[in-house]
Amino acid sequence: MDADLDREFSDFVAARSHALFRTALALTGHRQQAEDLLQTVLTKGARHWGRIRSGNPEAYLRTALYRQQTSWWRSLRRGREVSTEQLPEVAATADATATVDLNLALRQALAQLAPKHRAVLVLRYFEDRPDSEIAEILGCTQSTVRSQAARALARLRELCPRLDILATKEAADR
Amino acid sequence: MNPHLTTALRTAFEELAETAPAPVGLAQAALVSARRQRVTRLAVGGGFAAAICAALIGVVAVIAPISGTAGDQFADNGLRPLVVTAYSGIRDPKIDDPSPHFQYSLLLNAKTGRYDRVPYRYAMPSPDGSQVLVATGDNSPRHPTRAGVLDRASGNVRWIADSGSTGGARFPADSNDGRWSPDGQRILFTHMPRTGTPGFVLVDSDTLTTTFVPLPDLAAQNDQATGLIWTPDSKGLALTLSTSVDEPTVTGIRIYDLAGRVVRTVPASGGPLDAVSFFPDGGQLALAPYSDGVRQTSVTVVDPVTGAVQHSFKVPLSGGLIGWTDDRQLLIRVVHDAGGIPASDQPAPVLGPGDDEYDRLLVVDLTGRVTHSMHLPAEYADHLFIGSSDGLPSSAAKITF
Repeated sequence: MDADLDREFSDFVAARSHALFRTALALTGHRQQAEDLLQTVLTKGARHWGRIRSGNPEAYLRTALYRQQTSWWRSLRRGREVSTEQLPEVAATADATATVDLNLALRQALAQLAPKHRAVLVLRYFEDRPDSEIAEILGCTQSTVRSQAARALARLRELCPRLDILATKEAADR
Repeated sequence: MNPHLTTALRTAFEELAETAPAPVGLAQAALVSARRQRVTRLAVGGGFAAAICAALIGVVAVIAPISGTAGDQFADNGLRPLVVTAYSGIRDPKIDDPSPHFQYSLLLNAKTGRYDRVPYRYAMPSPDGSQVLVATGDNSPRHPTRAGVLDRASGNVRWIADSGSTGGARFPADSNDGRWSPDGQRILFTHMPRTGTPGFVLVDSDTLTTTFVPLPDLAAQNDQATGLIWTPDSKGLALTLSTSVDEPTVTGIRIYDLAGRVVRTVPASGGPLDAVSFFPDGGQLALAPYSDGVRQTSVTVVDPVTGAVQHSFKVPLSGGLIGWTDDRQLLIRVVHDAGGIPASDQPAPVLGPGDDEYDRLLVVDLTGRVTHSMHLPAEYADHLFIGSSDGLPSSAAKITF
């Protein structure tokens, strides 16, 4: 890249790195891994900046974030899930103080999801993307998105039984 | 899906997304990596050997000194006084996982004059070279951070005990990678947990006993989150004070004793800071900003007692400060083709063949004049550590400077 393109790329990163890093954190749940993920994707962006700058570079990079994250793990872990930390014991009741515990347990459960499952949940519940866009970003069909999301939620409930308390609560609210 | 679960998930992701600010220097690092990858591809495509690790030394080559004499002091065996003793934190291109856990380092073998690959993402030789501070892991549950001391003679590592979690903070997980004291007696870790009290940890290099010293104001006046560094006498620590409004600005240097008491605060000024380096006699302190790959690097040398500026100059390329070579010269690391050579009132260094393809170490005097230049390996290392070339075989002359 020449100096003008370098500056343009640097300006873009300065403006958007906060938002991209938030997504990387949501995807990885780990600061160091989020930094590495974003750095890898930005390096790709820098290499192709001359080509992507005229389109929607943020969309390009955001898609690259998701695909990079899922492909790393697909190639290296071959279906293995992320480490299995000890989960907190399940609370017997759903009271106000349990909310904090629930958040913690949920985050720990998210850390144990397969990357593609987690990516679907991040896109759907963090970025509020419709299934059509999620499918486009992840390079799969909408039915795959729906099935992955269903499996992700089922796995979350397995890992974090406290989530069933929420379902009970909603039923009571009705 | 019920709305409560939706809310819980949104909350969990939002909380995760707010756990850390975006790191600084992302764009520059990406530009540098992109250039490096381009060069690597070109080299491979051109049929050059792409072997790394021990073979890295094969691509280290000294080019003719640009000018001057200060950098040309040869011993009888052709060795210059200094050498890179370790390239720490190199990513293995064969491993896709970007976790630093999979990085390796290269340690200079004094007997052979070549570099040995070691499976640690961080490796800092002790001042006498007999031991190496090493680290592994990436703070993840699968690869927890560990720090230890490698004995060069036996190859054994004594691991520093994990302190466990105290008030949400862990050591060494929430600390930087550590630095040897100049006398080699202790190791300093700057401890900046996300929650809990920041401070520093001193580790006795013989017994590996750890002492945590709280410094509650460590983060408050240190917007750039630079770590503490040793003072040359090994009796104190220096912290660069900085504040951020539009961009980080250096406001001073604070010296602490090893009990965490403030010894003095010295006014200093400057822009975004990357590196601080004491000259070993303690009489000079060099300050340099991040290398942005475009602008010439501005270096300021101050009196560490009064803060008075002793020298201020620009290096004719964009680079990062590594340290001092003697009391009149500094070592600057320049990333290849980092913006070329911008317009300057300084004479541009004469580049040798291939100078646009490799990172280089420049020896510069205190006017910014480049007196020596040496190629670095194509594989990028996060840290370079410099030491004496004493005891190296004459075959290592080409890697000394």
